[in-house]
Amino acid sequence: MIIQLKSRFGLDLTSEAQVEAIAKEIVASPEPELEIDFCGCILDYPATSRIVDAAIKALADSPPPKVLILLFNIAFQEGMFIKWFFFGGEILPDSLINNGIDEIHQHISNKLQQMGIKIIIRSRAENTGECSDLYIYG
Amino acid sequence: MKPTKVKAWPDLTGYIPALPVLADARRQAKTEKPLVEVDFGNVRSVSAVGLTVFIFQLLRFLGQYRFAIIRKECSEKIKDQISQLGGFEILAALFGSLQPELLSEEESDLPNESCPLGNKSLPIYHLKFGEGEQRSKAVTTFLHKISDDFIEIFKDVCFEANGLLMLLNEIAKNSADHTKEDALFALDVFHVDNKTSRISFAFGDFGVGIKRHIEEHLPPEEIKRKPHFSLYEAYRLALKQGYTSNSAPNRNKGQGMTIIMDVASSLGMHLSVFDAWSRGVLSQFPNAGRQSHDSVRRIFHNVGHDVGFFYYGEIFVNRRPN
Repeated sequence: MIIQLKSRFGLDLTSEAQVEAIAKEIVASPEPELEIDFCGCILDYPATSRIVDAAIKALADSPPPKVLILLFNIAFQEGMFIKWFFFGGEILPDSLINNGIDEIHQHISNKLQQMGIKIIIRSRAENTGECSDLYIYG
Repeated sequence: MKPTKVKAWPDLTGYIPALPVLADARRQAKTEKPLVEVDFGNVRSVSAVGLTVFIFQLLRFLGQYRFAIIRKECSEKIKDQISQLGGFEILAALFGSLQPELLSEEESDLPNESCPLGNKSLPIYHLKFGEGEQRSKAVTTFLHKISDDFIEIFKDVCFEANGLLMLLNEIAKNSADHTKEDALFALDVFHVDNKTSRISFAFGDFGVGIKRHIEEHLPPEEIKRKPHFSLYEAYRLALKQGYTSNSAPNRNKGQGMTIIMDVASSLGMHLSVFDAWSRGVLSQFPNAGRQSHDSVRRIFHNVGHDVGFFYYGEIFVNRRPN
């Protein structure tokens, strides 16, 4: 299942009310893979993490391999995606946010492994449409 | 009393135009309101970013009085351009009424430089923050307005506009959180040649700047160091991940500056912060969040006069084929 956020909800993911509305739309599905297309959107912390939390919850009852793909149009450094996708969310406590990237990556991976979920942060180049996997957790 | 003249000239297009002053208002008696005239008579080209940076410098020059007589005897072309950018409106709002009666018959003897076709500026955006909750609403309104404006202004260039919006969101949130003052935003797109365009922007607020803000909000254990607090020490703290001088740490978790620097770096953007007499080239800073006193020193230099507080960003992008 693919959810395209910009075309369905607009580009602004900075407000709590907006991300709450989006989170309600992400419901459990029998498909083993869920892709959320954030391309062209304005990510913000801690608001965007709410969408990732909802996606993880929706995947919990899906059949394996339970893969969540977070697609974005800019290949940011991992630390940035961690802030936008996990900071303020359920799997990254506030106490860890200033730790090293490797340590946070490991923490997120451990949490996801316990849930049997894999998250792939993928980028898509605007001009070529080419996708590449940037960071993998779980 | 003879007024102090501030001349804007010749090109208000860059990030640090000259601010020639024909007398120093600061030398006038302190109890007296200084009489300052701003003269655009010799300006031959103007852009949103250049005019905005000029306004930031003028604000610092005027200090707490914030009053100036804006003379409008510039060429018709420049007058039109400043009007289209919303410049006179902003100048009037910030410094007092315009003085149309001062319009002179004299013509500028500098030739008007014709604008290369296709260069564009957005009208200067004045973020009137207001108080309390209104401040974060002002950021959202700003973000929505420029999101719409970006669709038109970037239609000829290959550029991930949402990346710049995320950067501006962080900068605007910082201003909303750390000062009670308003802010200005300006953006230009200059076509360098048939294949390349240069996008530049300025975003600043009318507050005291990062260095003075950090000095004024030092934690109790650091307060005795305030008289000796250097620019580098202030920015070492400002750039430190997790450090915040905000009194509402639940909302502000000290990530703003790190995000600003990392987004600029990921976009390949040249980003500077101008703060009073200094300029820090943030995009040359290695390892955001792990800075030493030495590494901060290496990215800052003295610019020679007080330029106010603003960020200046610049990025070269490909033009879309026709």
